[in-house]
Amino acid sequence: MEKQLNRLIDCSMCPNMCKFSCPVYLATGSETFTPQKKARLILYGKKNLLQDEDGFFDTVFQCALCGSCVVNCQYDDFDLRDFIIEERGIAFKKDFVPSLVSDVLENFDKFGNPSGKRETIDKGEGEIGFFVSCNTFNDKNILSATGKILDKADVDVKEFGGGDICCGAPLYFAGDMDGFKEKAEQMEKLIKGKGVKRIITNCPTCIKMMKKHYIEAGVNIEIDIVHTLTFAKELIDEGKLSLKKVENKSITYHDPCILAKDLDILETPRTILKKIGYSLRETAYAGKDAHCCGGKTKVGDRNTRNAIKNMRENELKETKALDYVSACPTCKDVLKSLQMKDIMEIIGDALE
Amino acid sequence: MKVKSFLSKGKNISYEFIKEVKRIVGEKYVSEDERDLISYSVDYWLYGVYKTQFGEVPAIPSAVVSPKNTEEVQKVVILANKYHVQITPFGGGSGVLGAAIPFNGSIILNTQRMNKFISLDEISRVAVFESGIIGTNLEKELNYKGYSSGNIPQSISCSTVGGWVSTRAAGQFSTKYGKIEDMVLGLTAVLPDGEILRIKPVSRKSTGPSLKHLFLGSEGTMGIITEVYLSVHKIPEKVIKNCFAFDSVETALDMVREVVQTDAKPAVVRIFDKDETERYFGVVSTRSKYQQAFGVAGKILTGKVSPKVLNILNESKNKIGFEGMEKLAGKVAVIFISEGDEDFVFLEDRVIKRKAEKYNGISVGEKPVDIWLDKRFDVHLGPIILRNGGIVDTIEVVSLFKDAPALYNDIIESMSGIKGAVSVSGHYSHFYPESACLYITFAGFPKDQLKYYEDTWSAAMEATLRHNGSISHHHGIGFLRKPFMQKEFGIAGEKMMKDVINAVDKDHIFNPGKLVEGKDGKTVK
Ligand SMILES: Cc1cc2nc3c(=O)[nH]c(=O)nc-3n(C[C@H](O)[C@H](O)[C@H](O)COP(=O)(O)OP(=O)(O)OC[C@H]3O[C@@H](n4cnc5c(N)ncnc54)[C@H](O)[C@@H]3O)c2cc1C
Ligand code: SF4
Ligand code: SF4
Repeated sequence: MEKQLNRLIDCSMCPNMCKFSCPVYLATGSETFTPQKKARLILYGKKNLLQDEDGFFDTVFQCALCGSCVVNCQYDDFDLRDFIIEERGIAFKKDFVPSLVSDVLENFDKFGNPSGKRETIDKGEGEIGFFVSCNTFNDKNILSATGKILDKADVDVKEFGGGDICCGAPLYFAGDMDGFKEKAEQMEKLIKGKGVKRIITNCPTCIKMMKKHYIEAGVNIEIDIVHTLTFAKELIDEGKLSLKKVENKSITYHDPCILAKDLDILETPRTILKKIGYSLRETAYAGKDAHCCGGKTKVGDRNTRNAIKNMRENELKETKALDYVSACPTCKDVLKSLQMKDIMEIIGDALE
Repeated sequence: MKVKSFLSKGKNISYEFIKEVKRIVGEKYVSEDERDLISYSVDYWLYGVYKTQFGEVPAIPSAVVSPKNTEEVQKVVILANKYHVQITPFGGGSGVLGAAIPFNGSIILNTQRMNKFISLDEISRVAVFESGIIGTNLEKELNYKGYSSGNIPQSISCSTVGGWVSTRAAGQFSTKYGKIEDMVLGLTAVLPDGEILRIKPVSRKSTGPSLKHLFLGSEGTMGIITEVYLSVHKIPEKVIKNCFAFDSVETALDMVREVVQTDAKPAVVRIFDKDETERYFGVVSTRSKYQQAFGVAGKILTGKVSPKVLNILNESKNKIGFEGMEKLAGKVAVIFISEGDEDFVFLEDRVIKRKAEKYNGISVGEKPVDIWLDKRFDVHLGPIILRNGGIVDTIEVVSLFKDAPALYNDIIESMSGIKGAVSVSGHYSHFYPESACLYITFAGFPKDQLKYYEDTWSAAMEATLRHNGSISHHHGIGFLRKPFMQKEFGIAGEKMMKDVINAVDKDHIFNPGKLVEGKDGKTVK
């Protein structure tokens, strides 16, 4: 921890070398919301040098947790988001919850998930578990496309999700670490009870939560969890799915932050799209440089979140592609004005 | 506020001004909040940055105002005139001379909401940007369309085009593409009385003294730049890289001078002195561990520095081995990047190789160039040194070729002699047919940080002036170099500079305490 604290001090005195990539800074123009200034304020918070506590807590919620600053950091061993989350934890304990986040927390209180009352999914048999994330649950097109792909490749899955089942990410983002740990433990029990060898899911956030943050919270689900996109690519490579080609169609792929920056999945979706015959039109900010869509509950401030969304929409529109696609149900929903599709839908449509 | 300012005290600003300015730019874009006052209290003036870790900052602004376009800037400036509120423009805040520090409790005018790429005229190859766009994004937008500005400063990821213009910045590819003053064709600025000045984008004209040049290097003292027209070029089709080893800085300077005095225009030319050659390329050295880590200053250290400091500085050494590395041991490395139209690049490469041969340069191939390309934005060591109680900074000066060797020797010796110095090294990175820019990096672990810092700066400035050099090539003046402006310009020159600034900014609205002594009629510090 001392090493990490030293890095926080280094970050607070860095020339802000990653600033160009921070979507919150770019969408608001605020120096205060740049990574380096956040680090300085966090350091001052720790040193008890700040008097305006609400202003400080608001600052730590002015972050999309997108990881651009991590990808572009001068230090390989530093992740500013760890400190931002730590401060959100302190804020939560002091009852500081931004309005955008409080609705979600209310739902968690009542229904155990971020969306509201819903049915529990628990069906099928097989060695592979298909976890239906909260955002996938709300998107019947992604669900049916994924189902179609699995059927076509003859893959039997145990499908689960809905009800009060959630990976807990919204709680993690809100700084409710006890709530998050509870959710992680609930998920661990559920998954271990399923007796599956591998889990697939459409949501990059769920993967990161289960692979990284659960372990930080002391929970280890000990099962490989991959994105449906990765799984579909395996099926294609094994010859279990054959795809028909489209002609004269351009497409722009929006890289979801966690998938590109944390999970390093950049080429797989592009390879699949090219295989289907699409001509890829990249934005000026693509791959690890792609800007965040703003998410739903990661940023605490509604105006900031909308400004990030508008910025990304405009960047995507610049490509003038016929279709837009992503690989994250949240991105798809946030960027719906572009008739964004999920890559599962594109693959589903291309099945022979 | 618990965070204290140590250079300049703030003052209270009228409630009416705040109320009215909120009406102009919107409530959200005017702030008197603690978090914002702290965030705009220092740029990248190194001693100021050093102090921040202890909760001290140079100067706290009265408020931060972030307008979204030229028209809003105009209204803010007119209002500031009405209430006699002073304004310090803030671009990326990467300036290293304290030019964006809000003295006298001025308000900050943050340009970073104006960060759009406006348009590209592909026929004339002119691009227009809002002034607050960060360099990396400016380049990304241009690259996307197949172009580049050619201005690639080390701070590209944290500085704005408005800041570049205001400081006369220089990029790593300047020997071919020039400094920012060679790229700016026109601009839009809001003057101190609130008038909007639009300077047409053409290459050359004969319409009296150039108003554009008044803004180049004006460091926010004459107005707020809101839009910049830049000349751009196609991404080069051919690139050739070369590295040679020479016996001394003098020989390397002779060789490079002869190259740039032909028609050759290599984009990158860098001469690294022996210490920087060692550090950059990690060549094996027979020198003592102190000399290896600290270079020239290591000679006088003889074991006085703690192993911790030794480790810190050694960390900056390149650790990647490569073929031909030994050729650089004890030598001065010179790297070249030639780029552009294939035919010209091949010709230029021939000229470079011919001149290298003439001065017995040993070819080391491309690898050192790749290592440099890889490391050229790496400044991670700076904060580590500051955190450990050290001081680190850079100083860039320029002189004619005839004075360059003597200036190099004098500046290194003078700076190394300051108590507390542990490392002083140099490279040349911007060349013209007549002159070269010398860039010094220094670090010290002194008992009295401020004294060491001030003495080292004075030593460098005095040495430069002794050899007819100019005290800044591209970082500018800010407040730190202000005391040397009279020696730079002479009494008449400094007075003329003051007269011009005071004539444009009669009521001293913009950036108090910068560029020339007594700009605002008050002495700061
Ligand atoms: C790590 C590092 C590396 C660097 N490398 C280089 C380099 O390679 N080459 C180089 O030239 N410099 C370099 N610098 C210095 C610095 O980046 C430049 O001086 C840069 O031009 C400053 O731009 P900025 O946007 O950060 O301006 P700021 O620091 O915000 O401001 C600089 C000055 O310009 C004024 N100003 C800013 N914007 C406007 C505007 N729109 N209208 C009017 N006035 C304005 C400010 O008031 C201030 O006086 C480096 C700095 C760092 C920290
Ligand atoms: S995680 Fe993203 S939004 Fe947050 S500070 Fe880093 S770059 Fe900015
Ligand atoms: S996150 Fe890394 S690159 Fe960004 S300001 Fe901090 S130390 Fe610098």
